[in-house]
Amino acid sequence: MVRLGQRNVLRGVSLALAPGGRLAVVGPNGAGKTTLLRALAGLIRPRRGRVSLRGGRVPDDPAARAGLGFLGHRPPLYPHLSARENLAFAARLHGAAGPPRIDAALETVGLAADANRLVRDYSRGMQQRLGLALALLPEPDVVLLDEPDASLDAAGVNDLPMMLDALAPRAAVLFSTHDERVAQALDARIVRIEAGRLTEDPREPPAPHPPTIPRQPPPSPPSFARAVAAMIAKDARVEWRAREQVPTLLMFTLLAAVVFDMAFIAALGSEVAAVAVGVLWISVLLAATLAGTRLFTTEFERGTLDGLLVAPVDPSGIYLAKFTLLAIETAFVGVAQLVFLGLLLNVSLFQASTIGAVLLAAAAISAILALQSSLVVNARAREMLMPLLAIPPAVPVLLAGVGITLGALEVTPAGQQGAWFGLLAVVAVVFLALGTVLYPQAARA
Amino acid sequence: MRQAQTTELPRPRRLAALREPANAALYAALLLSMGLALFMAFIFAPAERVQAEVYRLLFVHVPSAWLAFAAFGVVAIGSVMFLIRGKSRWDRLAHASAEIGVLFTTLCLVTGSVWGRSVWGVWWQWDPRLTTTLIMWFIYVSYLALRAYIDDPNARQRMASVLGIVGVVSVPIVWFSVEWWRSLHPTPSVTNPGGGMPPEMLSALLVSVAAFTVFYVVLLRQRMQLELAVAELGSLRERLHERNEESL
Repeated sequence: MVRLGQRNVLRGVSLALAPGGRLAVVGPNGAGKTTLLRALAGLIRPRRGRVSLRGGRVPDDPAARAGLGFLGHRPPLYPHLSARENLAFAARLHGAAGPPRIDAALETVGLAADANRLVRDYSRGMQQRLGLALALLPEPDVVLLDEPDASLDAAGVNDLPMMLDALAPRAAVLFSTHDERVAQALDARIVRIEAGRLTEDPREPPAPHPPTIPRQPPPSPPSFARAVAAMIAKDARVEWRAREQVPTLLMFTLLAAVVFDMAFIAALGSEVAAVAVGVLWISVLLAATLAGTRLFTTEFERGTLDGLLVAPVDPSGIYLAKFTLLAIETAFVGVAQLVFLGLLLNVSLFQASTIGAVLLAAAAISAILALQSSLVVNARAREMLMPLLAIPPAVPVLLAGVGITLGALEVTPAGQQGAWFGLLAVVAVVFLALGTVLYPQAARA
Repeated sequence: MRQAQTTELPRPRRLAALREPANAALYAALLLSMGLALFMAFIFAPAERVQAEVYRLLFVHVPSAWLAFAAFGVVAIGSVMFLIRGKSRWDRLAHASAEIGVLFTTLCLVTGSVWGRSVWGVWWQWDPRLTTTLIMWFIYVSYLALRAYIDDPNARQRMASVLGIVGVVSVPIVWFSVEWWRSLHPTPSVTNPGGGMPPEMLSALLVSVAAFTVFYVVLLRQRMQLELAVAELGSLRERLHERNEESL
């Protein structure tokens, strides 16, 4: 049973599908097709019941997820990566075979000629073809497709059986559609779904699609470290192409320094160092909050978070990759602010201890923000909510940062710096541990 | 036929809990303990040598702080249990306890502020305990805000549970703040033997704590029953909707 809000969206659904079998779930809008497929893919936790694959339970067992290929309503594509790069990233996450398989997939879905174009330049139909290639790339045992014919032209719909035969010949395919002709074209058994109930018993003998190709061992999922590295590299490449975060954050910190300089320069005497320290830490915290808000929400809105969660990677790896990205961005912005403030307010902030404080504080703030960011993906008014969530637990980081920097500028005695560094390290470690343990709980609603 | 179906709708039996004898007993206990606490605080306990009468704020200030800690502990327990078991009642416990914890923390901050004005001459001081308590208050206000901003109940329960576990980190920090940093607040004088509080004051304080504990339990039960009533109403509406759909 799957319950969304107060509604039981799916009830008493039981499906068994043999290798090579094809099953079409046909029903009107709002019947529960998407919910069924998302529950099977492990993106929604059913209240009752279980989904099993390769002897493991979806979604908790990575080996079970490794056998799944999923294409939802929106293909999980990164618009600033090319088709080939999107496929290569998915291959690294799934531990699937390398370039030859990617070339074959591109060829099969008819995108070989456009393989190096950025996906943002693709038409909706081309994105759907690439989405199919992504779902079939790791040679899954079970393929779940939510309206695979959506946005495809007539030729694309005609090509669907060929794509499945070529890329996932042994797979059991379960797809939803409201067009019975698609089900017939794919030679699939039809099950009707209405108001969350299957109205036809689907448990018949397997469909006449015997597996003719010898079974190969499934690709082994990548190591945790490799998966995390792949996600960090992907985010870095997206940021390099899109330039959505770092340049804007740099301008933001420069503006903060300029505004404070203009506002206070006439009134400042010996307090200039204290003001510079205040500007430094407030701007680091706010820049991190700005960037942190987007950390998970961008993936969520693009639908790519689904792609990461379906992959056979421990979800805590997703948290660690996002943490690393945010920590690097925050540290970069903080160090830049040390330079800006040195130039504008003539304060010698660029010292080993202040740089160390900025780096450690960036790690601590990012450990907090990466977890908070994952909690607000489903929330309304995320941009308003995020500072409220993120700033209170970040106050110790702010206090420690200010303590270290004031000591470095000899505004206060430097003796307490060790304790402040200790506090930063404790906050970073505690929140990294909490995030690593708790993110998998927040990842799937 | 449709008439018969309508009368078949199950009555929400669990709502009868609102009229349980246990609730009546709790209300009686609340009335008695609060009456006794007021007597002990205002008549039984003597005036203090230096602060005279204003110190009697202690009998609200300290119990509300302790009960806030306990309430946030219950939030963490409810959150962990929800993530393990997936039963909504654990989430209801965490939610209700967080609301009451915020209420008690607010009470603690307000009484502390009034007390501080009289003793220190200022409404607010960036004292370690005040600062950490304020942060704790913000953390649980943000917990309630997160709940209010997520519409999907499944997501709301999971996200809030994660935050309910993270937030409890603030409780020991508030507790130990007076020992870790130089504070205007005294170090614990009740849990330490020979803490220096006269026996009359100590007994009045303990009675106050007991009365606040009963108050917490009463509020918690009421709040959880209200949440349950809301959930029951939602599912009844849903069943009615399904009936209507089926009979069409």
